[in-house]
Amino acid sequence: MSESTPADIIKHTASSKVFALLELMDHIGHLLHQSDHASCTLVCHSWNEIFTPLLWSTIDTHSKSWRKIMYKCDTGEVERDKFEGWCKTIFAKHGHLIRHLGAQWNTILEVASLNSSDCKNLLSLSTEVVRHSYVIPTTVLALIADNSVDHKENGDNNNDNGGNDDDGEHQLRRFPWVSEDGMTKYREDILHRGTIERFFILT
Amino acid sequence: MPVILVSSDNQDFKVDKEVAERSILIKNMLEDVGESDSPIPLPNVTAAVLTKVIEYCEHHRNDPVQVPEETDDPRKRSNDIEEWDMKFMQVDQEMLFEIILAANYLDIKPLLDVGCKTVANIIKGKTPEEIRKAFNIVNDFTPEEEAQIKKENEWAEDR
Repeated sequence: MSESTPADIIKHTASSKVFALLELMDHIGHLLHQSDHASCTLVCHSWNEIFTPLLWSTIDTHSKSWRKIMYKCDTGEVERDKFEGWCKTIFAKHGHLIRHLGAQWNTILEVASLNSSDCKNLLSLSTEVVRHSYVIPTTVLALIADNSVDHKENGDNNNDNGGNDDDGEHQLRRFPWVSEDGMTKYREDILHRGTIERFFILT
Repeated sequence: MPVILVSSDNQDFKVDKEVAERSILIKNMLEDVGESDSPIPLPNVTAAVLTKVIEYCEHHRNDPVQVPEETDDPRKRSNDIEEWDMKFMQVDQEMLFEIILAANYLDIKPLLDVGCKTVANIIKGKTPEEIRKAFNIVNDFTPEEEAQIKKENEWAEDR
């Protein structure tokens, strides 16, 4: 800024014009990382509107930050009821913005499927390991029982990356439509989308 | 053959056709008009901004038409600014945004890209308060609203 300007003049500056143009902000937003999207949602109301969809477009519960939250649940630092309540609230509010969901925990999968309209705009879903440290809803259990070869439960799941730990210590829970490789993505494909939607209806 | 561009404040700029045609808007205009030496008015661009834009187009006059490559890694996407472009973008912030607006209006994609990357680089790694400060944005949230958004964003990656 070449000189400081009073608030009423700021409206007419080039920067405020750019900030008001959705396509330009979208362009800028796509150059940023998720942590920056999160910061941008806190700048002001208009930025919040622009950056919230960008922030929510990809949810990967495999990320460090989600794991940190899970860790807090595991250690009891955060109560599970509270965590589930929080998940439900944010998914009900922003679930429609999620385009790509990587759900490694059952809680997330359950929350995402609670109300099929919540995540109605999903383009891809990847499930790798459904964490068993949580109570698995019976409908999901039934699905797994029907379709998976082996669904034995196991304790440790700290180092599940890419689903390639086939060391017996860690048995992957698989959904019928999740293929052999750990990260199976269901992209913009009507058939696959149908499967996801069916899953949501079933659960 | 040179083309005459007229800025919003009525200054004439004589540039090579090849340079002017870095702007898709002007390129299309010239195609529509055919062979003509009548000046092209650009009512949305001031002389100061047009000078910068022409400087960019002159430098990049021989660039091949770029095919923007899509990459999924946002960090990569904004770090690849050419050295000359980086220097070119070292202007005061108002000019930076003026250039972005002009590039958008004149439809000069590579310039728009560099401009947006420059803005993205300013935002990167900053706290909300630092971003507001950088761009002179007024915080219009109540403390309650702020707390609520923070709570909903708790899952987002740490910087």
